[in-house]
Amino acid sequence: MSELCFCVATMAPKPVIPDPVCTWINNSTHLTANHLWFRRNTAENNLGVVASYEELRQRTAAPILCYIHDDVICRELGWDLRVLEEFEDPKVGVVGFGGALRHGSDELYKRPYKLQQLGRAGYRSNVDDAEVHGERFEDNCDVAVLDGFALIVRRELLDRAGGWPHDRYPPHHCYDYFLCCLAHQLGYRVRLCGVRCHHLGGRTALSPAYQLWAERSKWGSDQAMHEAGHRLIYEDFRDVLPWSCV
Amino acid sequence: MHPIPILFYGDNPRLATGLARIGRDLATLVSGLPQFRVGYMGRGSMASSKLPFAQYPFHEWEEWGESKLEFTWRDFAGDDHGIIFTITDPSRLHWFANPNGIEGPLGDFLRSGKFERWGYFPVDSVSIGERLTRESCQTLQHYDRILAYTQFGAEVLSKSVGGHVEWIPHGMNLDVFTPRDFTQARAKLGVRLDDLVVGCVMTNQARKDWGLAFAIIARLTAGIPNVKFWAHVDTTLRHWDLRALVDDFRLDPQNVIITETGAFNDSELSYAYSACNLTILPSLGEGFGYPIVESLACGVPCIHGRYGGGVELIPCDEWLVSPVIDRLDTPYNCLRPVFDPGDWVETIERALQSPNKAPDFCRNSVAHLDWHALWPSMWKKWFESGVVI
Repeated sequence: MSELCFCVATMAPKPVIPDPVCTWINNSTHLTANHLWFRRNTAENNLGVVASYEELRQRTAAPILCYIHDDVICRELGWDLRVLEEFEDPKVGVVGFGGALRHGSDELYKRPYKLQQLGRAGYRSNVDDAEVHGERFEDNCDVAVLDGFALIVRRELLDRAGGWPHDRYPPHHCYDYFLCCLAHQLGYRVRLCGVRCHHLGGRTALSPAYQLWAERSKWGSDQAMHEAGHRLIYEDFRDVLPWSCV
Repeated sequence: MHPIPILFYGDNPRLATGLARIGRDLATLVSGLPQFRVGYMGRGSMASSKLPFAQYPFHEWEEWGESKLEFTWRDFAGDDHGIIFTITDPSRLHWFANPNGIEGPLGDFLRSGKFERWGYFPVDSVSIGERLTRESCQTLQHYDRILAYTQFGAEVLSKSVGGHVEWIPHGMNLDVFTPRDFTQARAKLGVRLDDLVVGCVMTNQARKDWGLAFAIIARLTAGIPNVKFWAHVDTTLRHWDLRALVDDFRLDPQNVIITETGAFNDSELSYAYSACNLTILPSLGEGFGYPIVESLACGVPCIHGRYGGGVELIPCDEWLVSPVIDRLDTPYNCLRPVFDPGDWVETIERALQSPNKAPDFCRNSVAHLDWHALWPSMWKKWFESGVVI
């Protein structure tokens, strides 16, 4: 079971292990605390998500990296076996627990750029409030794009791309778009597992501390990061967008 | 993989028409794809050594090339199966699509199944029932792949064939069509810096309403003393007589600058666009509307009628002029708009005061059409997705 390692970027101070993270260990068949890797961010030293994920990639050696937000609760025993079964197919590059069948509108690249053209459609998951976000889905399927709350990635995919794009992309937003588009660009499949879980969500981005940090970053604001991330996705993945699994 | 022969069919790529430019650009780009071997059967003009594909020109007096097609395919493709990709109006292609009743080598060839029929169809009007006229609908039914220029075109074609039709816009070279130095541009066109310059780039054919263009300028001139009208046309005398229009509208010939297509290359054309305060395209329906996007790429607003495929290219609703009524025209029952020149003048005056006339606004509205962006995003994928035949 050393194939998997669990990578978390968190603001929780050492040695705290956030409760939601414990649920993934407890519901796995073989994972222990030894498989947990943290990037501990602080208000003074916050790398943001993308650079944190890159640091975790460099610090670990497992062939499959589970990047899961520290506010996602697992409710399914044996989730790890289900994920590993997906990775038995060497063409599978990324697995997640919430995803959409379509990424990018029909107008994308045909009309002048608008951020909304990069939206996703046909979202499905098996979180507690799945119906609020889209449709409930318990099975496994190919998807166009996954939600960033759970991104389980074959290391080889990231290695081929030189890791996470922390020097180009904003530290927040669009890293899920990036990873899934990259997978398609490199010929991998992106898979959704309807693992029963729950994403508490909204804790980081809405906090005044985060907003202040965003304003002090080179990007100037959270909104500027959001816009810049989308623009980069638009430019970098012309060959694979829009993507549809319908 | 053995490259698939794809024979483009349309206006000769050396001509200065919109269809020729589309064919030339696409054939050149497809020549760079290893999956294809490109040939081009072009109507009018001659072959050029500067183009990277085999060329089979035919004369206008040979109609639509019916007598040359079978020979051309045999020479180009031999016994290979491939694609004939037409870039022209469906009304010209009934014989090609539906060869019932055609005897001899041409009929045998058209029925041979040696090639797929792909078409990129201009749709500059609708007929009764918001589709094309019946014969054109029948033509389309025999195609294996149908592609439209615009969403407008796709909707008309969808109704014509009873199924979904994709659309992809044309590309252009934004390095050439770019805002030029205003002072230089005005000097090249021979107008003063304080003149109000209105441009119009259209060929001389019935659908391009030069009569309306001059009526607009005559009214505009009556209210504004320093109006200069730049009219760029392939020939001054064919369907319209531009000199007669100048005379009859009693315009001062010194205020009308008429240039013909051969006088300018694309770079020089971009200077002329850049010299304008705005351009107008008073045609009675566009499949696409290159003069719209060329003008915008040069940072200059374009006023256009609210009809046809060109509407989608205008980035600002207030730059569109609504028809007062429409009428049927030609044997193909094309619905054509009728405009009031006064509405155009009002729209021009409003546009001249619009904050959206800033060059960046115009240019950003066509940035996605640059070939560097459009080819990998849309066209390359479209051609590659059709290689399994």
